[in-house]
Amino acid sequence: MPGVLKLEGTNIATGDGNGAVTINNATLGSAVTVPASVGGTEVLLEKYTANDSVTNKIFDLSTFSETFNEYKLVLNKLIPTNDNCDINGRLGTATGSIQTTNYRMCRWHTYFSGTDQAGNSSLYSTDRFFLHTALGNATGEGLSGEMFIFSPRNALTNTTTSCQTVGVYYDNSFEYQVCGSLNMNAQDDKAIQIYAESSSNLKSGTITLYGIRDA
Amino acid sequence: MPRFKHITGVGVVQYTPEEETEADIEDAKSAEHTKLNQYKEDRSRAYPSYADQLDTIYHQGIDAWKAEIKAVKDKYPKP
Repeated sequence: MPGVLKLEGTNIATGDGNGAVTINNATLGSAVTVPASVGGTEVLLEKYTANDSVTNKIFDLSTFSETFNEYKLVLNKLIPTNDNCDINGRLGTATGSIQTTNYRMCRWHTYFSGTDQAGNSSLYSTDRFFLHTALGNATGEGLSGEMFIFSPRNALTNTTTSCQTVGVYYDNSFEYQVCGSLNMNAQDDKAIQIYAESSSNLKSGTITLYGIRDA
Repeated sequence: MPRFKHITGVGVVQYTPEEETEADIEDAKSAEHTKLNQYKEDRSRAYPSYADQLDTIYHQGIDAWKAEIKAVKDKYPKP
């Protein structure tokens, strides 16, 4: 909500309701606009802590007062309840309307077996924007990393994502993965879903959502 | 066992019967997909790195390399 800060009856500063503030100081000779990004470009929107009772987390971008061109999700030690379990990501136009088709996702990953560099592999999927397979469920295993989501709220463009994650497998091998995706549907993707495969819950760990200011 | 989801601004919500049915179908599809494709994942993790494979070819020849690759394929057969 826009607002005005006054001192002794004089307007000192006005806010545009989106974080940007214009300072009106006669001694400066002209108004000075402080961009919304001052103080940091990443805006913490929500931090979700998994608690072993929920299968999936759905972020609803429409509930936040500010809309961003870019969003970032940080996954920290996200551990599934079931061993050897995939963790995935999907988008949706609403929390009750998650899209299960029409993605273009490809990923590349490389493994360290514990004693040696193991193979590299690339895979694709059309039913999700993110997939990290076969994660372990013990303490110290699971998934960590970051995901960037570009222009999800722009209904005229296709949402794209870029993710890099590290995972500890059920057999204690270690994987580094990069993954990119395109939503073939140009739409306002208000919902971002992170879920465990095969009816597993998300046992522990955090998922933190940030909006990124670009001005 | 009922499933739950956590939605921003709403909190924890139990799946509707329709969502439970959809999730059951998806789980079955996922299990079938895993059953048919797990060998690819297992093989990709078991193959030596590209550098090691090239090293094997250089020092021991193609037949040695083929034997090494075959051992992985045999260990994780295509269903």
